[in-house]
Amino acid sequence: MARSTTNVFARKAFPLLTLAVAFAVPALAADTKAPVKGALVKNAPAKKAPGKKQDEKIGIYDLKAIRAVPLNPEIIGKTKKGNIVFEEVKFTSVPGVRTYMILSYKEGANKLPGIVVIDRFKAKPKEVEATNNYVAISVAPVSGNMDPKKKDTVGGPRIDPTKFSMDDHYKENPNDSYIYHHTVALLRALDYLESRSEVDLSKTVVSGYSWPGLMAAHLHALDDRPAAYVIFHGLGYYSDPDGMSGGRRAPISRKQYEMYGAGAYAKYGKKPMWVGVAMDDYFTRLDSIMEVYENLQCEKKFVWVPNRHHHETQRKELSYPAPYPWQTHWQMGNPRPSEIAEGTVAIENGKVLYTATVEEKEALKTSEIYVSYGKPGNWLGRTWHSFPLRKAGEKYQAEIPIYDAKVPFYVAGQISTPNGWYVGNGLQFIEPEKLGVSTANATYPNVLFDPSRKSDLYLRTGKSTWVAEGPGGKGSVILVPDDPQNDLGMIQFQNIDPMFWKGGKEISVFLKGDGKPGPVTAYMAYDTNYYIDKSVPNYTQFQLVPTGQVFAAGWKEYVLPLSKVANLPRVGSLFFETAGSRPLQIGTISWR
Amino acid sequence: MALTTLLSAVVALQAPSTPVTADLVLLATSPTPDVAKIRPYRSALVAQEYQVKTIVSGKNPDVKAGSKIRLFRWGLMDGKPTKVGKAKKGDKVRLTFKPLAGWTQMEREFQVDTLESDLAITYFVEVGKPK
Repeated sequence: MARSTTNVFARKAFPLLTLAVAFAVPALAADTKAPVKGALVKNAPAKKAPGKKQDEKIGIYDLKAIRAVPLNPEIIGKTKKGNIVFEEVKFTSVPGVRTYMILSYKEGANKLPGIVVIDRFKAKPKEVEATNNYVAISVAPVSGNMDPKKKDTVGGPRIDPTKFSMDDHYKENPNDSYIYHHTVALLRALDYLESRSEVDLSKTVVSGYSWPGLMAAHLHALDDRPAAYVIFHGLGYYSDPDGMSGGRRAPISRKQYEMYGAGAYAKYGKKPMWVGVAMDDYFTRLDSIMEVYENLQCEKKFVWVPNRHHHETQRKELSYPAPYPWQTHWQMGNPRPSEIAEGTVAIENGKVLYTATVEEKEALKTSEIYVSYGKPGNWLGRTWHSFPLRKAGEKYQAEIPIYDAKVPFYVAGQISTPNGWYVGNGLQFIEPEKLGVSTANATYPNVLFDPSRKSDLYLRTGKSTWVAEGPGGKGSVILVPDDPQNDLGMIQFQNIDPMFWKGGKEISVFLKGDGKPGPVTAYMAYDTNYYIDKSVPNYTQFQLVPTGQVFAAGWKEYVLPLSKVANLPRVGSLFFETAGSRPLQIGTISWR
Repeated sequence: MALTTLLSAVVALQAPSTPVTADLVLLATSPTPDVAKIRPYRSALVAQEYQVKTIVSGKNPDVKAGSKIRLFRWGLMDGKPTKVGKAKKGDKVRLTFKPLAGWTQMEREFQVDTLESDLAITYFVEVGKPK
């Protein structure tokens, strides 16, 4: 099938994924020798590609046994759209499973850089990546499909996209597991691609977002052929030797962690890894991130995303260009971007100071540390504070306020540049008393949210419109809870650390009514998730405007008495809900 | 070329794709998942196939009167099903949509697409919340 594509690409948005390499990819060679449709292709050439691991046994993966299975690749279809080719290939990934894969590339492609986009379900054509001179590789995970005529993988465990829980795939028998099957399929896809002149595996990047990131983390352990691995969130759960995570029973057992946990595989990979990760992610919990970071033996660059789960804020740590400065450095040899070395925490003149060196390739836009107080655990509800990391001679330093010497904290540094890319260093867990700090050296601020700062650090809801008008001349923010791109249904405010509110009696919130019907409700939640699950009674509800009453137009102060809040020391989030998920205008929030 | 220069040049090339509004007839739909079955996800895009009847506004070479397109629409938002799950074959709707390719955020969302794979059909995403 060929279609007219006049000016298709001129009109399309440039892909965030591939923008940065649009100029870096060499011109296409004309002498491509792509196999023809329907041809049964011989296995990959015997010549071993650099970085190919052959005989090792890594976790649940027996590479020798896996590679003993003939690939028997077959090109089953070729579709053209303008000068872009979508090629369908089937190969045997494990006995009884014929994996379906789509390669997308420009006609005439020769030794182009590759991008493996790990998809959650189905293989997809990648027109935009191909347009930008990549060979894009998309492999269909097992679905349980048994119809060989379908453009899908045949065989393997049944995976229903309408009943897909991440927790269901940590199977006792790897052969029943999506994780095992998809990782092996990706590995074997790379084996097959050794035989294809269109792509250069040494310039190929493997990328996975959220759940697919776990497969990227596994593949990183198994295969040193690609140039780098890029993972957004996706590192999954951790379970300590006692089966615990953050003082609670871990979502998976220790055995499951050893079989499937990203941290268990981190030490094996040699190729660089970039990870962009929410510090309050449901799936990639902080203990898992720290375990992966510590175990990685390769170059690693982590970007930290505080207080917003997967949602977007004006900080845009994971938006364009996100991984590209590092990705293109590893993939194309582009110049090494600015970076921050590991930090140290020490007492100096009674202050707790965080110190790190920064390799500045250009002026920095931001340099800060993120600090979260409290013992390990409450992974989804922790508040992350930002303190400035300032240049002090040859180094950068930040002062960490100690509000209570008995309360430990996590800390990491991060820098960003005017072009919008971020990079951080490793997270550390610090117990002030072990540093020799015996008393507090700071008082926790009463103001929890000051709109005049125009910072949405503590606003997990995405879209913030800052308004000059507000109580006390501090301005205000208008938040939209049901923006389809930041779909929470509620507004979540994250700067809630009641352990430091010594003698605190209440929270004061200024809201501007819109003159429309109520209700308007506030929730203070403990052991927080990133939404209020009304089937889980982990919150105290305050009816600010009851049903049947009007949210009176104009500003009003609402007071939430702390004496009525259940499990106050464990409370981590304040939610607001409006009727019909209407926007809400919020002024100053404080405790007193 | 310095990396900063390179990336600045690239950023300058970014142009949001123009949305298309068209009158459509529903040909097929994927099921809307139950939020309890896909935890921790709270939202899901659901793939539907439409025939284009009339283009109301906008332009895209893959959207022509009589052509088939596929649309991802929010079937589940904030844990609640939208009206997308009630759509029936033959329903006539006017929708506004943009191409999925290159809309990175939407490409990463939890998607349910049980339609038969067809490389010849372009995928779009409905702009905004289903009305």
